[in-house]
Amino acid sequence: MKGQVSIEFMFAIGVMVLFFLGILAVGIQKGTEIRDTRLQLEQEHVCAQIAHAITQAYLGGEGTALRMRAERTITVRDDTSIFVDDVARCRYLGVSAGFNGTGLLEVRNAGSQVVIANV
Amino acid sequence: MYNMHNTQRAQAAVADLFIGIFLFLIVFAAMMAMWNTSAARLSDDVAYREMQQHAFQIADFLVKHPGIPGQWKADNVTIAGLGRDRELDAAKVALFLNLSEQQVLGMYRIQSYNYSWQLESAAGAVLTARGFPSQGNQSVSVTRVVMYNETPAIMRLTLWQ
Repeated sequence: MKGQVSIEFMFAIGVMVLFFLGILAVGIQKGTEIRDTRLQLEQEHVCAQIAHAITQAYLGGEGTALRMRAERTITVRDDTSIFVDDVARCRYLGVSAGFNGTGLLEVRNAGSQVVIANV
Repeated sequence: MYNMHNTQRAQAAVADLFIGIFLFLIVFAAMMAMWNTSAARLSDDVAYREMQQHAFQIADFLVKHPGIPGQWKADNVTIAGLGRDRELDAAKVALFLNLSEQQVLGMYRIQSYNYSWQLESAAGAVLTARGFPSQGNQSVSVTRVVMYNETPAIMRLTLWQ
């Protein structure tokens, strides 16, 4: 008789298991949300950096050059849109040639437009 | 007698468990509420920084660049600039004032915002303005000291939503 477990005890264990499974599911979901948010913030930060660099190079006049390191894949289109990892999107003001790449970049005003190249 | 005593103990343990679960749920609900509040704040912060970036870019473009094309008119303007090196061209300011709201919002890609733009004298008197004063929850105001009609003036651009 001492080796038997009461119904109440079994019920309590069941409820606790379900409870902790629920908490685990919420924890996993929130962890995924945190990772997604961090990635999105990084992408938007890079996008803002490159947009700022292009606009400043354009406004600085011919010969103005800025260098920046991009750890993510940047796609600059001549319609003023910028994509980072094909996801985040922001815009620059000015005229720029298209570019796709990553690493150390030089953003240079070549007269009529800004040109971005790896250095 | 022994069995009755044993059953009472088990009932007490279940009651304790439910009290514990109830308290935990309260704490958990509070944590979730805090999480959602923080997420909303983060979202607002991201939106604010995006608006800030737009405001800085547009303000710089207006005071540092003559626009695209350089001799733009209302019917061929791609992006309006008002001068060069912070010296505003009065003719371009007049052209800028006559652009439609849709043209201004479209050329600077700020359709999701409202804006107000004004030139003030150094003493603070409004010389000219366009747009609508801020009535939103978030606003970014950027000022630039410029030369306008050969006198110092302050250009103020406010984006709001």
